[in-house]
Amino acid sequence: MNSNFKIIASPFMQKDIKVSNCGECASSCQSACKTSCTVANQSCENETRVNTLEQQREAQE
Amino acid sequence: MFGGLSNLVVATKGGVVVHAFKRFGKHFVYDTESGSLLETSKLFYLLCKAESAVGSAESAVGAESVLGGAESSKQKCAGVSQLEKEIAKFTASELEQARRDIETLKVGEILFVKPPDIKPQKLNRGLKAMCLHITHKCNLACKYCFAESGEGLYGAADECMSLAVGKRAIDFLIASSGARQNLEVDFFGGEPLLNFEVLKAIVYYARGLEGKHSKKFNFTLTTNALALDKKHFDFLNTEIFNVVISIDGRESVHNKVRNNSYKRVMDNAKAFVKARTSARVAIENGASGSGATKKGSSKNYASENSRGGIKSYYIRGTFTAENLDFANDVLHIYKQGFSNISLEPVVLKGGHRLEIKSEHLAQIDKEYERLGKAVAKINSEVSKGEISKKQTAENKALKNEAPKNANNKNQPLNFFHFNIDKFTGPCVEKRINACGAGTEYIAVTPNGDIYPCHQFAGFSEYLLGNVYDGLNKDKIYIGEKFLNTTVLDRLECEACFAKYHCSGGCFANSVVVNNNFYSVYRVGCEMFKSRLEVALALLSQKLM
Repeated sequence: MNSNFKIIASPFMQKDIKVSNCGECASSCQSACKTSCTVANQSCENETRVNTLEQQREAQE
Repeated sequence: MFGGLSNLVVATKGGVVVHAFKRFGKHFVYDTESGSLLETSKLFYLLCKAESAVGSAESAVGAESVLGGAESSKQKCAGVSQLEKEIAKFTASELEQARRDIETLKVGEILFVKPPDIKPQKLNRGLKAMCLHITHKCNLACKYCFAESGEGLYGAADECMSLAVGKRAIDFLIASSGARQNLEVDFFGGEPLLNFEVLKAIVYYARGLEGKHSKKFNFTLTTNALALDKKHFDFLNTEIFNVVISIDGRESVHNKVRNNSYKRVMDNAKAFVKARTSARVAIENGASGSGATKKGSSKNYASENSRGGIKSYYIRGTFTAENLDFANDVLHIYKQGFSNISLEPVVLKGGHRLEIKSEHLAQIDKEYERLGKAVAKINSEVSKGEISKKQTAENKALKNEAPKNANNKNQPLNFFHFNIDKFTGPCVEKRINACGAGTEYIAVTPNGDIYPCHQFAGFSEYLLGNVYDGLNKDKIYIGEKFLNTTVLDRLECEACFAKYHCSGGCFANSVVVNNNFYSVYRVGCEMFKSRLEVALALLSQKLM
């Protein structure tokens, strides 16, 4: 870690905006909540996007 | 002394939400608009916190009526003053270095990043998911059930869905799903197992239509497990990709609100999960099925496998004002041998004795952190054990074997609300569009009535139509209301660091608690933020 910071998660929102919205992922209420709107822990079902992101992950790790 | 921060003030005014927080004795900074998360020094954290407070206070002065009034802005200014005092304890060279680091990250578009230019598509691309109220009969009468109180009363409590209505609902889903391939049906109630033969027939009917319409159905089931029996296991382990079992935790806690059902429910759930785990191991050993975990994948088990050949489960409970020490309930469930656990705060109208109120929030915040620590410890130990096990397996070339019972302590604790995948999580559009209620997700009651979601069932204003007659043209505005209310349309969410994780929260909660569709459920927001901070902090330990 730099003396002041360590990056735990890299920025993605600005890049991700271009590859969004295939509409094939699960609805959040169908998993385990049913009363809270917990969207951001759902999995992506877009193989192209997931593979791209996985490659970025491997490059970072 | 804040001269070096003036540029950052400009950044916060531009809509940037940088959130500095402490968890597990460590300091973190989260950049909402980019998704960056940093573990930082105390000084770095203080500088970012001061900067956010300055921006926030200035905004409050300029818009007192919206953000809480003059008193709120005074408090925020006082907070800035306190932070200044703490920052003054550091040396000039330490300050200079920290400021340089912040500036570097700003230039690199990692911190204080301007909001992405999101243009919500607000496309109505048809239905994707359906909650099928297969029956409103129930063999329990839980004290907090939203089916039993208020306007949302389900109506005829002994109503069961007929196969004819179920088939019509499946037809309606397919016909309304446009080009989508993955469709979801959750069997809900009441208690769905009380209408099991119809449930099975609906599944087989839908399976028979998959090829013809190029669709893939993913079925889920939410059950209280009181009637869950061996006779159900084969079907559920073959056809239902996620089974959600309601257990609230410790025996005393569960029994108090769920009709003294603990022993039977727990026994049934253990037997079921044991059978399901054995089925999973058999699939894993037998083939590299479509749901097999990719090597090195960062996805959690439950979500990774849930939509493939391997089936998942969740123990899903509720905590109330009477068990604010709910971490003990999660850990109790884990100790019974369950790995995938969700425990949700109850949502009730004012005046209910079990209602979670604002005065409970401080304790709940501490409890989420306590749970986070426990999860980290458990998963760290499991991780060490797995490494050791792998080495042993390599040396002795042992074959995989199914666990002998469900009480397998080598399983990690997968707590639903702590799951954040920092690499392959949902896309931006998903993050702003909430749950999809009323647009891509609907609920169908036993008589075929259509509502925006299961929680709106019985609310006359939200009755959208019927699977036989289709959507009522006079109610199309309701669907449009859902479609046009993304998190970006909610003023109250604009400056919230959690907005891309909850999408503005549950519409039904807003209606039930505030009687205002466009409002947010404040108590729920605060709990969400607490558990999100813990989840983000856990990412630094790579344990979730």
